[in-house]
Amino acid sequence: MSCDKDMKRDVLLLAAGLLPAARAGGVEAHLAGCPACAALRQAVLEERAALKEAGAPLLAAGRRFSVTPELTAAPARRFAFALAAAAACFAVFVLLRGEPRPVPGAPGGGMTPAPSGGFSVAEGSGPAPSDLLLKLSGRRAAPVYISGPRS
Amino acid sequence: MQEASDEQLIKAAAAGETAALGTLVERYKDRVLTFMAWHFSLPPEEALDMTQEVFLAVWKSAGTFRGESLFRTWLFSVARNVGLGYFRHYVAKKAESAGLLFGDEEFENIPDGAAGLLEGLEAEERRALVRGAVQALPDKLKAALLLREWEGLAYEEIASVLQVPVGTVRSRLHNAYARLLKSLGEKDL
Repeated sequence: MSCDKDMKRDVLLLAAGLLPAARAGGVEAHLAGCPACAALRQAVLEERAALKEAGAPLLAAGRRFSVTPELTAAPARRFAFALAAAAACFAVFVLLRGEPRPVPGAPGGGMTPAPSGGFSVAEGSGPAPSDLLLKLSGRRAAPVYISGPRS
Repeated sequence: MQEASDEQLIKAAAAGETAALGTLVERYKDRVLTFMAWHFSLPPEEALDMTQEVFLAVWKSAGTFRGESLFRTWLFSVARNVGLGYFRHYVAKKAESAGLLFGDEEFENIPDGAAGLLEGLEAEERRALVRGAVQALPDKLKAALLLREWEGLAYEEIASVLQVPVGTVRSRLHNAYARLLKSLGEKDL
């Protein structure tokens, strides 16, 4: 004998602990007289026990995965670096369209020197670009493995 | 530090103890990675980047954990928000089409139950069989199963983490169990 779809759904939900209490009594009563549904409940209970025993087939982040205070500061430093880069672009722009454009070798000429105290990356204001790139590429290089059983 | 509860660790992290955060990362990195990969259907490398973002968000918002729920319920909520923020910004359509945002789902048909499907198998063989069957499930069913069976969240908590109606959690879990029953039944054991 096979019960209807709705009853089987409720039996499964009961075995999984997902059936609202208001519906549980009726399903329990049905189970007492229905071997097929009782077998279904038993199958779901065994399945859940097997799931717990097997453990989740977790992905593994790898040993190199970590979140350090250094990294947590990275967004701010990235912003500082972007700001510094924008300032550099602006300085270059100002230099190139300086008026009048100096003629190399002309009397009193020569390229207008960058104003002292102009663009520079202040010590400690952010990582050197190569460090930043290394850090970002390092994040992507962390291997991902499928792990063994976990519980 | 290793013995401390999750809740103690997150409070310590909020107070600036980086070692406490490190312990939480060790405890949960694989579980969060797997959740991100399954719930958002991401390839492992992308899920790994997102996982890093999740722990950065945890670090930054540790002070907002008030202890009204279990730490892991809060953690997976943060993970879900980080993931959804990413999807909202970049591929909102994908999230919607993957059914991550809304909606109950149909309950699938259940095969006739037959107890003892896994009897007579060696423990290792049984584990491999079950894990293989889980791997074959659709991602969003796996994510719900992860939170229910291995993280031990109540279905109301799962609904809160995933921001879906309780009925959706019920139907996803129902479908996961039904598919697993079918899959294990077809092994002809």
